[in-house]
Formats: sequence, structure tokens, C-alpha cells
Amino acid sequence: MTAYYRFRSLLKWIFRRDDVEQALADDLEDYIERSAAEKMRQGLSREEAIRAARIELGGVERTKEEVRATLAFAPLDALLRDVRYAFRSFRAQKTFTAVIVLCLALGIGANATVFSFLDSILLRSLPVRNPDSVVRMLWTIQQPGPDVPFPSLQTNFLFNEGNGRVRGNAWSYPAFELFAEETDVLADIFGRLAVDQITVDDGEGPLASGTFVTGSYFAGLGVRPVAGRLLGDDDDRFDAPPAIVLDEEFSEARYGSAGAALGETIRLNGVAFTVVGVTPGEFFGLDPARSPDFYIPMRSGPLFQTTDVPPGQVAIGTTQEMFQRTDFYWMVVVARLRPGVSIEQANTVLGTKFDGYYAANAQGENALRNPPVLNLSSGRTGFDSLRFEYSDPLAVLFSMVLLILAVTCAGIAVVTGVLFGLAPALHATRVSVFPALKGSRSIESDPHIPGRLRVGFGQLLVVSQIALSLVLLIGASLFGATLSNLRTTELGYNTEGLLFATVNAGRAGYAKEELVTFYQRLRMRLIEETDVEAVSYSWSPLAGGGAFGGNVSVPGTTEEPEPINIQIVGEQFFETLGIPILHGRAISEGDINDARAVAVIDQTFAETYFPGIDATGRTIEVPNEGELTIIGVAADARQDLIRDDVLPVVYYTYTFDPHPLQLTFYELRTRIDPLAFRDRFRSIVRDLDPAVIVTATATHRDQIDSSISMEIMFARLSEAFAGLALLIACVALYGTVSYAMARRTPEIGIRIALGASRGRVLKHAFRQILWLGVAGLVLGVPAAIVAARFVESFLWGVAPYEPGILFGAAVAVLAAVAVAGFVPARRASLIDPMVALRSE
Amino acid sequence: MVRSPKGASSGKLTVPQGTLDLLILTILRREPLHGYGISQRLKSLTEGAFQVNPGSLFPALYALERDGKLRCEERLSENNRKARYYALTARGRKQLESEEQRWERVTAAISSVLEGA
Repeated sequence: MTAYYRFRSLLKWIFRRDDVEQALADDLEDYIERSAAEKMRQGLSREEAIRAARIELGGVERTKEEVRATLAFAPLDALLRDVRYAFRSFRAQKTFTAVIVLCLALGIGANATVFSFLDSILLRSLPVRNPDSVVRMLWTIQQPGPDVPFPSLQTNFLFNEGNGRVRGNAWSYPAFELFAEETDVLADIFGRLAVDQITVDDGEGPLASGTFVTGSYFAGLGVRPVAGRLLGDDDDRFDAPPAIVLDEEFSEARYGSAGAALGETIRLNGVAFTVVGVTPGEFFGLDPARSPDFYIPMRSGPLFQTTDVPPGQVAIGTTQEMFQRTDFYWMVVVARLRPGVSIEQANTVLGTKFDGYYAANAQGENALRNPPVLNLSSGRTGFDSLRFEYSDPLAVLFSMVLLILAVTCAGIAVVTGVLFGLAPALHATRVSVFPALKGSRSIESDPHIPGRLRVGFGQLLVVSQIALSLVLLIGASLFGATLSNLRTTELGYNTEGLLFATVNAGRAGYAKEELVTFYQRLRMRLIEETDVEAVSYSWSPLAGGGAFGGNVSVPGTTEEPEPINIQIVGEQFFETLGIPILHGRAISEGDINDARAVAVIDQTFAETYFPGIDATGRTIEVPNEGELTIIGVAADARQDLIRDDVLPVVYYTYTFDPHPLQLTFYELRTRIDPLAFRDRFRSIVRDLDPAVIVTATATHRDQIDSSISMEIMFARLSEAFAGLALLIACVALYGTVSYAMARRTPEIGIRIALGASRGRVLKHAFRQILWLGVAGLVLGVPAAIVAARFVESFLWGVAPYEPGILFGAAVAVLAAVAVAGFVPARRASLIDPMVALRSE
Repeated sequence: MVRSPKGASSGKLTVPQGTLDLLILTILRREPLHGYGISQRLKSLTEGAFQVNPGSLFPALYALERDGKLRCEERLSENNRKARYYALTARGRKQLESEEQRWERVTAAISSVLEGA
């Protein structure tokens, strides 16, 4: 407190010096006046009296100088002394200092990381011209359910709004063109489609991600190139020479500078593009969560399609057909409002137009029961998919950071309190000039050190730290349990020794039957390897990659087609993955060679469509492909992102439907560590045909992890935070106990001298420590239960109030508290009574 | 309290180190006073035994004000001159109480030593 007043006074002295000088002059003037008046009453003349008064004052200037020194130098000196003292204490207490620095570093680091994350995702404005007039075009529908049909459109991009509605951010190209006509309200409109995992040139380097953009994209956003030019309408034609714009960072990494890239040829998935320009590094497109490496024209998509692509399926990029279809919603659309047009006005104009468009193109009797409704939204801070998905997770992260910050602050308060409280207290007793005067030596009686108060406050801080640590530890346990549940979830197949590899022969020029032959040859070649136990391949990757959805209908039932997962498989798929066939038989090589119209369904499918009856021999109908006869029922195996609910699955052969085959996922069961086989796999493919690209290889674990990155991040961060919090709490407790024990050294000495056993002293001290721990738990458990409710939606396979986790975390915290308190308590109990008494 | 016979040539005592603050605070407990008033009150209370040099008084006053134990009010004196009156703050009051206690202990201890000797 005194330091505060001194500092304030110093500031006053520095910044309002005239006032201070005036006051001082007034004071001395007044003194002389009064003193002289008194002396005149005693008979002196006025002059004599004033002279005498000045002499009495001892010189006006000298007195002023003394006061100035008091105001200016004493506080400075005291500050310097404090700082010097602090450094001396730090030197003397190296461990404490190290821990404080560590706590601060970790606390600040955690905050900086999460804040920069928050900043880039939630707070940063779009790096474009006049971001306030940019709007994103969204639509919402009612959450589809048993009574609410899905609208008559296809889309891959849906986000839950949480109020019973679902939001889509993708549009059909004809709808985009329709909006583009509304030049009264829109100054510009442009679209994009993000693509990931693009092979660059030879495919040896890292995969790149990019964005397909419409011709008006850069002009509409008002982005200026750092080199060359950006894409325009002339580039966005089917017959235009393939042009590409690179991100500055990507360009520098690849060509050394932005300018050096111009005119270079770059091959993406085998298609050659010429670099025409470079975007500035701070431009990240429209989604702060992803920074594309390159931008290519929307209409360059068909260059990537070397074979016919079945309706509704996108291998990469766009197809000619996608520009025509009215019911396929795939392009993210952004617009710039005309000056003076409000979002609401634009929404009304465009919404009416879109309602008409949807009604005119919708098909089926249910199509109009849940129509998409246009909903413009400000694009000021970007358009990220991540923000849709991550704003809740970010809130959780932020809360964790706030907790850790609270723990850090409390920890530092306690530790510094001990440093600056304990040391002077001991110091003061040692150098006391009047030892005899101290009838009862105690720190409390020294007015400068409110000992009892400080310990009380310190204990409060320690208790709250323990409570917060418990909250974080329970959070960490919940997230950790979620992660391990996700990783060990029953997938329905054997994950041991599995290697997944993505092979794209379509890009090398193979088509239809050639593709079939190539993939079969590759499989036969792989089987010859002694390290390989079994090989198969399929249309989509298992767990983690996301399966392709579709519809089937069951002839003889009146039910509407339900969404299912379709898996198109090669030879020995079930055998390779170890998916048991419960009934009937698996798809045989004969089925494949003869392209038989047969299917294996999974148990969920059988229970949904054929409850209580034998499904084998029955038929199902796949739209556009025809009827399939069911030959077997397989056990459930998860095809989709592992957190999703299990959808029914239909398996059939790729010879029955070879369309999707240009990109195929191989599943290998290896006899060795699957990672050790990766390079061999690549070289085998290269030997067969150097033009065929292996775009990705992953172990089962990688495959899973890539789909649960958020859960992994939560678990890792919360574990780190909980550990940190517990560490800080323990250090603080250690400090508090040391302090309390040091204060009680004489008392302990007397107790021991009077015959108390050391064990008894230790027990006494220990009881107090445990009491602090228990108080922390009493506060922490309810807080954790409240906090757990907020993260419930991020948990999987674990209840927020899992007693085992609550108990385990409580025990862990108590144990840590016990250890942190035991060390100083034990040290105190071992004190030599003579030494202790002499400290009196 | 140590007293000395009134009028003795050795009667003028300098204020013991560290007790000037205590004396100032005690005097201001009753009412706010200006600098001259404080020095006069000090003289009269100790019957002239303690004399405080204004060259020590003012630095002490400003130090107490600096540390938030005194505050200053400006008033007009009888002859229309600006006069600064010093008053106790809550902090000053607290300081006074603890200083008093300390002083009592010190004097009690010294007395007992002197009596025992």
C-alpha cells in the first residue's frame, strides 16, 4: 500500500511539480507569518520578527530542499531498494524464482496460443477491401427428421444451427447465376470451392490445398497481387489456358520469392497450370482457418476429370455437369452489397428470387415441405467452416485458459507473498536491535507484517487453486477418456497391422476396364509380398475418411429411400479387414469377375429393412445402377467418421459399378509394422506404372486421428493445462506450508523440547495441509460438475459426472497436495529444538 | 515519559529518532493544524522540553502526506493568506494506533530494565 502512495506522490512530484512547489512555499510562508506574529506580540518589530522567524526555520531554501528530497528521492530510492531486494530474494530463492518464471511462461504461453487462435478465427477481419459490405450467402432448413423431409437438393456442407435448424453454405451454379442478375442490390458475387490433398508435380513433396474460384473472386474482394496478376473472368472459361495464382508463402517456399514463380508451370494432380500471379501473404481467402496454397479458376475443374464421373460425385474440383445441375449445391457463394443496400433489403430481394428458383426445380411431393430459406450474413470476419464448427470448442478452450490464468495468478500471488512476506519476517527477527524488548516474538505483533491476514489470504488462494486444479483435472480426464474411447471404439474390424493407401490410377489416364485391370494387377502384385497377409481395396476409406452416402430402396416396401452408406469393394474385402459374415456368404472372386449384381448388407441394414426375416436372396435397388441380390449379412463395421451414428451399409463389387474407381483406397494387412511397408508400397506402385500416384498412406491410427483432431487437441491441451495448474497449486501450497512452518518454528521447537514426538508434530501439520486439500475438493467438485455440463457435447462414451473420474481426480489432487505439503512439514518436524528456540 | 526540569539549560531535548511521526500524528488526532501550529502544540504539550526544528518538521509532514497518512486542506488564514492544514487519514490513524502500542511496549520494557538495574 505504501508503495502505491509513494508512487503516486512521485508521479505528482514529476508531473505536477508547480503545484507541489506552490504548496511548499505557502506552507513555509504561513509558518514564518505566524511565527513572526507571535514574536511581534512578544515586542519585536515586524522586520525583526520576520528575520527571527526565518532563522528559526533554518533557512527557507534548505528546508525546501529537504522536503524535495523527501518527495522525490526517498520514493525512488525505496523503489530501487525494493527492486534490488526482489532480485536478491530471487537469487536467494532460486527454486521459487524458477517456478514463478516457469508458471508465468507457461501461463502466458497458453494464453498467447489460444488467443492468437481465437484472434485468427473469431476476431480478425477479412483482409479485403471494405469487408463490411461483404455478405455470405447461407440458407437454412428445419432439422430433417422422421416427419421433416430433406429438401430436394444435394449438398455436402451442412452445419447445425442449434435451434432446430440446419444451415447450408453451398449453392448450385444456376442459383449463383440467378443471384448475379440482381445487380440492383449486389455489386459483385463470387464463389469458391476448397480442395485439399492435391499432389504437386511429382507427388514427392507435401500435399497442397487450394481453392477453385469464380472469375470475379479477386476483383470482387478487392485483393491486389504482390506479383503478376490475379485471376479474372477470362481465366474462368472451360477453354481458357490453365492459369494458377499462388499464395505468397507457398510461392516463396517453392521458388524463393513471389516474383520468381511467374510463368512457371506447376502440375496439380498431373494437370499443368501456369503461374500468373501471387496473392499477398496476409490474404487467406475467405476462411481464416485455412490458408490455401493456390487459387485456380472454377472452370478448370473438368481438366482433372479424366473419366466420366457419376452424377453427384466429385473426385476433385468441378465437372461440366456441376455448372448445369439445379439440385446440386456445392459452391460457397459470397457477395458484395451495393453501397447503401442493407443486408435485410438484399435478403428480401434475393430471397424471393431464390424461393421461386427452388420451387421451380424441386422434385418429389415432399420437396416443398422443408424448403431452404436464404439467409444473408455479414462476412466481415470471414466465412470459415471452422467457425461454424469450432465456436463452442473455442469457448471451452478459452474457459480452460481463463482457469489456468486464475491458477497462475493465484500461484504467483502466494509464492511472491511467501518470498516477500517470509523473508522480511525472518530477516526482521534476526537483526532486531532490542531483542530484550520482544516480550513475545511474533510476526503478528509487527504492524508492518499482517501475518495472520497474509496466511489467511494465502490459504484462501491455495484452496481456490486446488479447486481450480481439480476442475481442470476432471476436464482433462473427461477429454482423455473421450479420446481413448474414440480410439478404441469397436470398429467392427481388425485394426492390427492395417495400412491404408490411396492410389489414383484415373489420373494416370486409365479409364473404366483399364482401371479394373490395373487395380487387380496391383493387388496381385502386393499379395506376392511376404510381408503382406491380405490385400483389398474399396471405394472409400474406412473409419475416418467419411463414407459416401446414397439411397437404396427395398422393393416391396412402401418406405421412402433412406440414406445409407455405400461401399464398393474389391476381392477379399471382408477377409482382409476381418469383418465377420454373420449369414450367407461374402463377395467372392467369381462375383467380381462376372460382375454379378450381388450385395452384402450389414447387420444394421438387415435389422432396419428385414427385421426378423432372412435377408439373403432378397433384392434392393440402387438408383441409376439397378437391382442387387443380397447374398450375405456382415457384422457392422464403421464406415463413417467415428463419432457419427451407424448408418446401414451396402457392399457391392466395383465390377458392377466401376464408375468411382479412379481413386481407390487400398487396405493391406501387413505382417510387419505397417509404417515399415509404406515405402515398399510406393515403389511397387511405381514399378507397375510410374504415372500412377499414391496420394496418401496412413496407418489405422493415423486414419482415425485425422478425423478426431479436435478431440485430440482438447485432450492434449486440457492434460497440459491440468498438469500445469496442479504444479502451480503444489508450488503455492509448498510455499504456504513452508511459510506457516517457519512462522511456527519457535512453537514447534518448544513442543519438541517439551516432549512432543516429531511424529505428532508432523501429524498436526499434516492435518492442516489435508484440511486445505479437502476444502479445495469441497469447492472443486461442484464447480467441476457445473463445468462438465458445458462440455457434455464434446464427450463420447463417458458421462460428465463419471464417478470414477471424479474420484480419481480428487485422489490425484489430494495426493499432490499431500506431497507438496509433506516436504516442508517434515522439514519443520525435524528441526533441532535448540536451534528453534534460539530463533526466538 | 522522560521529563527534564523546566528551564534547565540542558532542558531542550531533540525529538528521539523515529518518534517525530508518532508525535505529529498524536497532535493531529484532535484537530487539523498548520505547520506552525503543530510545532507550537508540540512545544506546549511537552512544556517546552521538545523543540522541533521546522527544517525537520516539514520534511516529516511531507513524508507522512506522501505515504497517505496525512492529507492537506487549504484554508484561508486570519490575514487572508493561504494556509495548509494537515489532517489524519484513516491510514494515519491506523499507523498512530500501532505506533502507540509499540511505544508503550518499548517504554515499558525500558522502564523495567531501568527499575531492575
